[in-house]
Amino acid sequence: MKNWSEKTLKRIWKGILVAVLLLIVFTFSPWVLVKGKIDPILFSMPYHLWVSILSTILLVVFTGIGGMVFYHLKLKTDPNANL
Amino acid sequence: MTQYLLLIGVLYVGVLFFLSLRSRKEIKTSSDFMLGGAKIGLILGFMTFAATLFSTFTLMGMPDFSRNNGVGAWIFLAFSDAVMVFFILWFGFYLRKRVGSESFGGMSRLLQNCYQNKGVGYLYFIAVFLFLVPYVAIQIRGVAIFLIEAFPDFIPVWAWSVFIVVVMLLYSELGGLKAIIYADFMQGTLLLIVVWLVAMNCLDNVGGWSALFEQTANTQPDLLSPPGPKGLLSPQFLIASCIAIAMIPVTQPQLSTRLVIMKDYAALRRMAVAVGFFAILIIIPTVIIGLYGALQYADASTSSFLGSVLLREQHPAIAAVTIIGLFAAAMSTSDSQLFAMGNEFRGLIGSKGENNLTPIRIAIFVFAAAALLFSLVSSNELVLLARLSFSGTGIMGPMIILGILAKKPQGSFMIGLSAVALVIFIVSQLGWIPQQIFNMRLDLLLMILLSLGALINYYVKK
Repeated sequence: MKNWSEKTLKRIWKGILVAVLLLIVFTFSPWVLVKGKIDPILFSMPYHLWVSILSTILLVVFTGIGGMVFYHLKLKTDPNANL
Repeated sequence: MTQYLLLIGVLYVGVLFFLSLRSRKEIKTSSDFMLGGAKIGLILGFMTFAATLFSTFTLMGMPDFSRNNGVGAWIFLAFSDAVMVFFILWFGFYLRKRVGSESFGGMSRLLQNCYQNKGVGYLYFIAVFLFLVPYVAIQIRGVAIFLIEAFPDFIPVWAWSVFIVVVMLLYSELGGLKAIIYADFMQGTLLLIVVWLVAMNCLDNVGGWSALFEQTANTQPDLLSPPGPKGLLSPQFLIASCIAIAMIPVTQPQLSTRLVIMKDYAALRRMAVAVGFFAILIIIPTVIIGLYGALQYADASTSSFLGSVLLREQHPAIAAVTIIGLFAAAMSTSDSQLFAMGNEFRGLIGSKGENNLTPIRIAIFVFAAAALLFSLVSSNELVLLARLSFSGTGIMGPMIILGILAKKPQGSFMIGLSAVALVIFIVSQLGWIPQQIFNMRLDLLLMILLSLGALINYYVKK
């Protein structure tokens, strides 16, 4: 990642932001916040619980990747930052 | 249980005061006392952030919240925490950049510098004072009602509350922030162990993971999807909660301080990921305990449910660890908050606080006393009180973000707007005006308006 260009890092960071935004919108949408829907069940968990757990894990994974990308992006673009 | 409690309790208090005295030796200035030397690595940073974030509210509040409102509690806290940790990546960077290499005198002083306006610091301080009081109070209240369950007819609830506050003050007074951070490490670990031990016991009692959901589906299916049996977890409630929780590191000084005192940005971003996974690990068992409670103690009061599931059903050694774990969880959050308030006060009084800790200690004492009084009159709805704290301080979020992001002072428009919004929010909480306007929750509406205001302010002043 250290050798990636500023343009590539910017593009990936923007991609992560869009993905996170879509994930948040999806989690608060009627697809997830649906009353009375229990099926499909996964690992015995009702639909709402496993979908929201999966969204949470994905978001934390995005945080991990996003943190690395943002860090390297700022190293290149913001030399005055307190990194 | 008493023997186990005495043994574990003595060990816990001993370690606590050992850490406190060790930290005391390193204190030379008020900055050492208030900011712990200001260079915290990944492991300590992660544990202190997590222990400050997860408290009595998690161990006692969340099981009860899940028992009453079902699995939607996951989005309410765990998903919102995940949004918060992602937000930390971005906000933490700009906050640290803004603070730079200067000594951090608290968010109040930082905002005064950003806006070149004294009023903004006082507005922030007032909001934080008003809405951190209920948050500290629920730690005191939570532990006190639990101790009453553990030792009925021993001493009244107010005496337990006073005892908790005295220990809290003594401990933080001895060693400063560094002692609190060391203790947070121990307390975070203890909290995680306790909550999983209790959850595993619940699963054993109910017949396993699958049986937990099958029995809930047969008896109370409404718990398995939002908005839950009481209809509380509506999309608006969850969205407003998510915004308020994501704003915690921005608006609550005990967490903003931890972002600033991290060693470097690399440690901060790793800490954010670790806190995200810690949130998942700690909230899963609270949902298990909550659903178990719904099956076994559907009609019990909060204190009776918690007393049964956390104490009476447990092996005496685990029950003793639970009491200490709960006490530890309350301590780690509350003393961080007391300290953060002290640091904010130090920032506001400026140079007078640099080498004189007396005014800061008085401020911490006053804040603790206010929290103690509030805890004596507050309800047992720990989660909703915590949410009130998040929403109340969240009102300051757009103003803080604007001040930190902007390269030049942003005038007084957002300060005035935030002050008006704060008054409206307080008045709505007192029941003087409705909490819903045009079918929209007032806290959500205020956040949207404030965010728009900050955006317009930014482009006008650019």
